[in-house]
Amino acid sequence: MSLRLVYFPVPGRAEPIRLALTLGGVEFKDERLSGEQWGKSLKGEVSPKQMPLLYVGDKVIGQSLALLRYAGKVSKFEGKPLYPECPELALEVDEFVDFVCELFPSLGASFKITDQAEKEAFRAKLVSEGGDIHKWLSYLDTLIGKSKSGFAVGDYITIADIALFCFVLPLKSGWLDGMPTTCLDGFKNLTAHKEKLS
Amino acid sequence: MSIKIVYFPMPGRAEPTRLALTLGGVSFEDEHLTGEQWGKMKSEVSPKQLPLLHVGERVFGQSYAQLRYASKISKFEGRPLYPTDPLLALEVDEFADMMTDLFAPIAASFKMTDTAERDALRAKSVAEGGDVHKWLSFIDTQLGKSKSGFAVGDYLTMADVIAFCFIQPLRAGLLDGVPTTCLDGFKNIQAHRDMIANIPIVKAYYAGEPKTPVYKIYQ
Repeated sequence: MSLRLVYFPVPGRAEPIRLALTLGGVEFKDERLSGEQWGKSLKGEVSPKQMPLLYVGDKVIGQSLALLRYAGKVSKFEGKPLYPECPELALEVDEFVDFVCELFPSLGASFKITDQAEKEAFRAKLVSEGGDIHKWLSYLDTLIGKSKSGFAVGDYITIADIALFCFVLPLKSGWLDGMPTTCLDGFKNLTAHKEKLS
Repeated sequence: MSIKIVYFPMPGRAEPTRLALTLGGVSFEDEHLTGEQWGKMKSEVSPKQLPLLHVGERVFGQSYAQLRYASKISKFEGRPLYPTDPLLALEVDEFADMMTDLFAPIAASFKMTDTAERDALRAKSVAEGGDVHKWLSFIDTQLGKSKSGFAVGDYLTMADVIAFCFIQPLRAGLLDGVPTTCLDGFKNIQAHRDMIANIPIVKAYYAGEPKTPVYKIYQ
């Protein structure tokens, strides 16, 4: 079945999906729309669904995590699907991905702050000790540190590793005003995980 | 493997998991904590929150992850509540995630300290033009289009369990600012509720004196 993934020309919420399918050697059309193109064409047709969207068969499906899980099922790396078939292992993967996503609400809230200085101060606080994002980064760092294999869950790569790699790394890229590029420096295990996946 | 759900004595985020396991005839311990008991347990499992799912020796957080697991191991009329077909499962997962979007404005409202402002925001979100209303309409339309009456595909899945458990509490009168009439305009959602409520296992599970007043909405 042909797959067509539609999103903005940024990593954002589509990158883990793109990476999972790529790791699995699954062919897909990686369609990128500008904000204007999205607003003019698809948005009205699929509302209230948002991008990323996957066109598969005669269906249009939204929700980035649902799409990532699907991509994990149809993509195999070194013979194993990126989403485990064993329910208990899959539960662990789903839980890990949901932990990674705990970073989003406070980031989302930061985008709504209109005063630039206030926004930057808010973000800097999130990643300092005691902040919401810092709390979850510490926890993820601990979980990775406990892993014998170095992978987020179990002994081989899963969508949990992909979610961590794609969603956490951009925090230090400097594209978020006020988010220091040093924000991941204290997390040795997260850095080691990034090196492993790269 | 032994299964235990740990949560407050309310539907909240644990009800879909409880109902899924019940539909599948999977035995589980349904442990209820008071706020005080949770306060004591909290630091042990932090940053995990309730509900917690104990599976054998392990403890898991994240209610949707728990529900998906419960739906995989629970079979109703011979079929797991979480489809084995990846594309059907994708539609079920999409439906589950839409529920998160539906509740986002309400979830965000809990942090608001000005209660008048909070209640006004909630009222606006469930009224026509509001964000919650938008998703309720979408789901109502989807249910209306369904030939089988089920949320996704032709048989009962985790999507139906989520719709039943999460949407109904909106009309229980527990959320200041959200009127008990908020679901009145959505005929298909109410028809779906009735269909699920009348499944014998579901009916039996909610029969009798409601555990707390809110449970009346499931009868």
